[in-house]
Amino acid sequence: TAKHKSHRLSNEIERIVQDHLKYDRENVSDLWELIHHEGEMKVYRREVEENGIVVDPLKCFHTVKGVTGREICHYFFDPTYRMDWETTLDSTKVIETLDKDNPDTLIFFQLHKRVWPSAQRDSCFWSHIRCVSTGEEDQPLWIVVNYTTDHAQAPIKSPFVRLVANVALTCETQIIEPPLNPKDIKRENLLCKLTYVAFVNPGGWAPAAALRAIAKREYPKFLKRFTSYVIEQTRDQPILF
Amino acid sequence: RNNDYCKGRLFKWTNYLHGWQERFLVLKLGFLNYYKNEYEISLGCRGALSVKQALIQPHEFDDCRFDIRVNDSVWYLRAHNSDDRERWVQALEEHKILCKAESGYGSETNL
Repeated sequence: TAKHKSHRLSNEIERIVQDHLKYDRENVSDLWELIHHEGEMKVYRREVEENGIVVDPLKCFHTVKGVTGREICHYFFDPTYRMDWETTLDSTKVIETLDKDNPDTLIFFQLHKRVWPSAQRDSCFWSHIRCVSTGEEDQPLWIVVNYTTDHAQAPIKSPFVRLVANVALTCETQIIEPPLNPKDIKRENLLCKLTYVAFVNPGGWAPAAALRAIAKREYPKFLKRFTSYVIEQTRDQPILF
Repeated sequence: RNNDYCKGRLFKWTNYLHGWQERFLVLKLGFLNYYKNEYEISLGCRGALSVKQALIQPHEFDDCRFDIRVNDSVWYLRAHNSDDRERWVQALEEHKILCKAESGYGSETNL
């Protein structure tokens, strides 16, 4: 395991990651509405407005066969693959690597595709990947958190509107029908329980009905596209636990 | 009641790193608890499953194996031989019936 140097964002990252680990995998209460259910995938949201802006929290549960949590988180975090599965971006750029010896935290600047009639959005956030051991007998947990931050190299410039986000992907691998020898584990023995949580404030103004319609359509689409992408990429690869 | 529980060593699936590890399991008072070994019982159990709702599934091809499921939680277990598996599966099934009978007498039927 890599040595963790502390940097200017260490404390904030620790706080935000711990919050996600504590709450994300909890089941939803009746305040949450199931907006999409397809196979193993369930997408919930809570309708919340702040100063007339839709900031609905979103929570998705999914189960994916044949991949590990580490693999899913790796493809979600690593900028190399982002444009392969992300369909809502014009561009993505890493503007800082916080610790060169342990590149588990990157700062991204992204330009989102314009959704008419709203202004075009951009975003600047730290992205952090981590493995959390839950006990020596259990499969470790993998998590990626993306959290809005300010950065000198990403000033807010009109006509772009800065969106604010706190997103976390948490993955837990389960081994189904474990073989007598752990070395014989095949992809068909793998099951990944995934939780995706998003708090997004689009910034500026955007029509509520349009935002909600887009969210309802785009999140399930993203989850399907992204998870099938990981399945495709890892199909003939050795398992990365 | 001294005959309504079962205890002993079984192999339990841990994770891909450690695979099957021998653990000490105790079935009593509606729960199946496991410990690293019989000397660590006083340190508290490392995990527990409620037997009442559990699904006990002997493995189709491996006559030492059985799985215990409660909702999304699964314990994969392996006995030292098929007789030992038989003893565990039977004890678990009997315990399950006992749990249901005891709670059925109380709150649930009155709800």
